[in-house]
Amino acid sequence: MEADDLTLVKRSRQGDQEAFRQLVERYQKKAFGQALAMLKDRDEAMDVAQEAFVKVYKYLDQFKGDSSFYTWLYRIVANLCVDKMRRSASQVREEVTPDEGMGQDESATSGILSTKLGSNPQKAVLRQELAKKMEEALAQLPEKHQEILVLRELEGMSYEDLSRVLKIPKGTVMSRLFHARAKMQKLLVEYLGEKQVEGLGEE
Amino acid sequence: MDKACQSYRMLLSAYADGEVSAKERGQVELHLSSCPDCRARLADLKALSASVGSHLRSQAEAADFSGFADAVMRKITPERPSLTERLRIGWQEILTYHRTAVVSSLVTAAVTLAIAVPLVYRLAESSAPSPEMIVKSLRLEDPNVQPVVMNMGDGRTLIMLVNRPESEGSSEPVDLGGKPPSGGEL
Repeated sequence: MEADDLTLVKRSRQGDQEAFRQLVERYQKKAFGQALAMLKDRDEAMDVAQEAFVKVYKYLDQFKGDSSFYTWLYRIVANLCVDKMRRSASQVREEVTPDEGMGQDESATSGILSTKLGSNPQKAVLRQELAKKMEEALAQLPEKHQEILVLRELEGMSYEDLSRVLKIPKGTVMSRLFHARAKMQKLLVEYLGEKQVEGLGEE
Repeated sequence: MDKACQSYRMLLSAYADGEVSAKERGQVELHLSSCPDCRARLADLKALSASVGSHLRSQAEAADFSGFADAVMRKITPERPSLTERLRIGWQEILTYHRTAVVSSLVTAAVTLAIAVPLVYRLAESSAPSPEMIVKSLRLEDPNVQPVVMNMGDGRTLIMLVNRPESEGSSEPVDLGGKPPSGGEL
């Protein structure tokens, strides 16, 4: 039976390196995926993911176990990414929209995206063309919207955990996610154009 | 979009995530049952979540993780640092945590040097024999020899003890061993 995260953390703290290796292997893809979504550069994302685990090991004593191990790891990855982005001035992007308030132009469409993505959106994005559009659309989002989308859609983090990780109230989690999705959807519909993407109709 | 739909827009996103209360769920589902537009919006939200999640996962999956854990493990168990590195770190720590002690001992050392060096120098100067004083006098006990002093030109002086003309025998040179009596004064 596989040991749970907390057990592995405790064993790592006592100097059991094999236990720590198991934690690394369990979360390496998530840490990398998250760094990649934020940094858009595979090499940098790989470096950040490794650095994050090194930091985790260094501060293992500070992990209290009141949140999930991943929530904790995520915070470290996110901070490292933000540091990196600040250092490379070209990546700095202004946040232009506040969370609150209903944007009138957001998500004016209904049903277009689901029609375009077909009955199997997971399969659809494996097509290169759509993956590229997706990448471009994500890159257009303000940082905080990217961040919350990645945490929710890649990691499936609950609103409770998102609130803790992002240090915002649950109500703001809900509205920020809503706005992030509305923007993403608008961008995707624009990128996908009026006509259906080839081969995306019926699967 | 009518007013009712507008009020459900944000809630719909949370509903798609399964993050609404039982009461809200009831309200949303009631509205959905009578609103095809909002049903289409819900379908969009689900398609978006599925495609974004799937996209992000496929991006991460495409990477090679074969050496990942090894690289991390190497970094958390670093090799013992080299001697120079340890000295450097040691010195830095001394400067950081014992600065006052270091500074005061450096000052003491500087003051000691400032006093001691001229003193020692002066002592050394006064006790060292000057070249002129190497040979102060030459006393001959044998009345049959007499000294002949020759300046060699290279700063050395050669003193020869020569038999006086009335006695027979060879001359016997005395070399001053290369000491430079620059004045050559005896």
